[in-house]
Amino acid sequence: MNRHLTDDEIEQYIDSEYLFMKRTHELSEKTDITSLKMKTEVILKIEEHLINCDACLEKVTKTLDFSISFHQWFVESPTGEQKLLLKVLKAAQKEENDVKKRIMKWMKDWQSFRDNTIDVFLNTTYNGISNITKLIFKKTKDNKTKWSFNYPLETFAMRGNPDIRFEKRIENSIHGQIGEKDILEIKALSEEKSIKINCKSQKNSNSSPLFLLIPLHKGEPVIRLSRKIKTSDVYEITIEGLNPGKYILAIEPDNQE
Amino acid sequence: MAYEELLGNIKKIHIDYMKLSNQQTPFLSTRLRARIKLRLNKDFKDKISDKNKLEKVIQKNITATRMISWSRINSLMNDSENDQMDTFRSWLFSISLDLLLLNLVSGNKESGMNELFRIYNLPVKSYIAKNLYGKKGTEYFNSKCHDLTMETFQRFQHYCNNFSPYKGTLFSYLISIADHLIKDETTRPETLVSDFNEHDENDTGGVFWAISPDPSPEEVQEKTTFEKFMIEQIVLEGGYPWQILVVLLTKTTNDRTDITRLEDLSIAKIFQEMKNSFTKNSFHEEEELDKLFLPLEKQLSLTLKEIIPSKDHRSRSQLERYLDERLERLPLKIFFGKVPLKNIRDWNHRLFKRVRKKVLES
Repeated sequence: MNRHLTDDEIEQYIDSEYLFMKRTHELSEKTDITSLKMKTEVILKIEEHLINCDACLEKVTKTLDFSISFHQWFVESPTGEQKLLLKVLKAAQKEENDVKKRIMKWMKDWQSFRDNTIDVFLNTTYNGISNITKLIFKKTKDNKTKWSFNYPLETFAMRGNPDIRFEKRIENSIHGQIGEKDILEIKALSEEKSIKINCKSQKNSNSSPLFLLIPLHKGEPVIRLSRKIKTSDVYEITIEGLNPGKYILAIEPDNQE
Repeated sequence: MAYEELLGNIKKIHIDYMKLSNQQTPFLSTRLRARIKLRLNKDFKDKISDKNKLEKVIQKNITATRMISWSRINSLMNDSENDQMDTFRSWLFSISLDLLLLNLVSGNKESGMNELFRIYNLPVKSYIAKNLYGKKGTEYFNSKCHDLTMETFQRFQHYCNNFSPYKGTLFSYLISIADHLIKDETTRPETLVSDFNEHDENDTGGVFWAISPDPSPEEVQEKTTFEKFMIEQIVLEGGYPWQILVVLLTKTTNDRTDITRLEDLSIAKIFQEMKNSFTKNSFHEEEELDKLFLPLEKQLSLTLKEIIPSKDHRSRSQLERYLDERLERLPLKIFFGKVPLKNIRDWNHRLFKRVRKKVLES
């Protein structure tokens, strides 16, 4: 072929070889299928030309890239995690610059973000039972987190026999440790419609701990920078006015500094 | 003896076959070079600049293709509609392409995995959707199909060295992986809490972007920007408003008969329906989509006479009875022909071609 490819030839070549090669049966009778499936000899001529002509190669690459992107976009929809990330990024835009930067850095390591989260059920249905308020931390195989969590225990005496005592987990509260040290206390309070977090400052960190509370269904994520309680090394956060539902509470990893 | 004659014949056929397949060397060489330049150039940069290196890779691939094709000669189908030589050459090229992709994936090259995913993700997903037990069409089912498709490709990347091109195609290997995952799914206990924290973390190795389960800020922002651009282009250049509405609805469903079931609804209601389902499947929030769809929404209050230009005699005569009616009041069915599914396919195809032309011209 001693001439450049026409736009129609480029489009037909792409449709035949990259887009509709296995999907000609999807097209209607009105669509001219012969115009989509090119003859091998024609394809060969076009490709022989493409190997030697940079201008046409560039044009075909551009058209092909757009066509593939269009078709990919057409069949894809955001995953739950992508939607969640978008929510956080949008909420971060409203924050001050340093907080915005910390969140951007935090979100770049998604696995670490995921590993440092706690599921929050606030006055909602869980396992088919309604009005449940509880916090759940799930340790997976390759969890990168330094945190370990446990529930505080409440002790009861057996009715009629006070010598026998029972222990019950308080599931709307959770204690977080790094190594042996107790650092975090989180409480989900259904009556107050709030979440209360107390966090001890850590040696290697100068900045206030940052927390994200992301509603799984409706609503915007809450970004909270904790405040230090005067004359103590404890930071405190209270997130109020929460609707019943499922949330993800994310703790900023301490290796961000 | 008969078997000696048989073996002699087989040897002769083998020699003849090797001659025939050798004649296809220039064909395969051209096709592979074009494919490398168009889709795999990232991982062939050094070889593209050095002709000898590229030549070596291609010759090695072609030699292996000839051997593999002989061992899989039974899978070459007779195609009465097409020229037998054309079918043979396409079949040979598909083997050489499988081999090229396999070598790239096993060498941990990103472009190989991306191209493999591009070619096979839809057929694999369709296979999973067809064979997975569950309530089809629900958001949960669709997301399960998506997860299993991703996992199929992740496992392929992990176990690609177990695949032998002498035994079958890459696609059949992908399908066998998907089959295992579907069977696993039937024995897995039901998950009760949010799937978010229950992500399976089997693969600790590096994954390529196309099959990476982890989203990144740059990726979602890029996808959001692209979606905005696409919606703007479709609304602006996609054709008549009813065609645009149907195409946008097509994006949100796996089953196009869902759309034909809505044919009695007015265009105003179809617009609402499209917006609702699009919001669930979009990178944008509802308010952002409202803004993007505004030019389309404005057209709904116009009469057909105002929408269809006078030079489009065909559409005008087909819809003559309704020309003075406002579009929003008209039912979708008046725009369909005898077979609505054909209209949906046509509108999709035409819209894509129109938008592509406009985007590339600009």
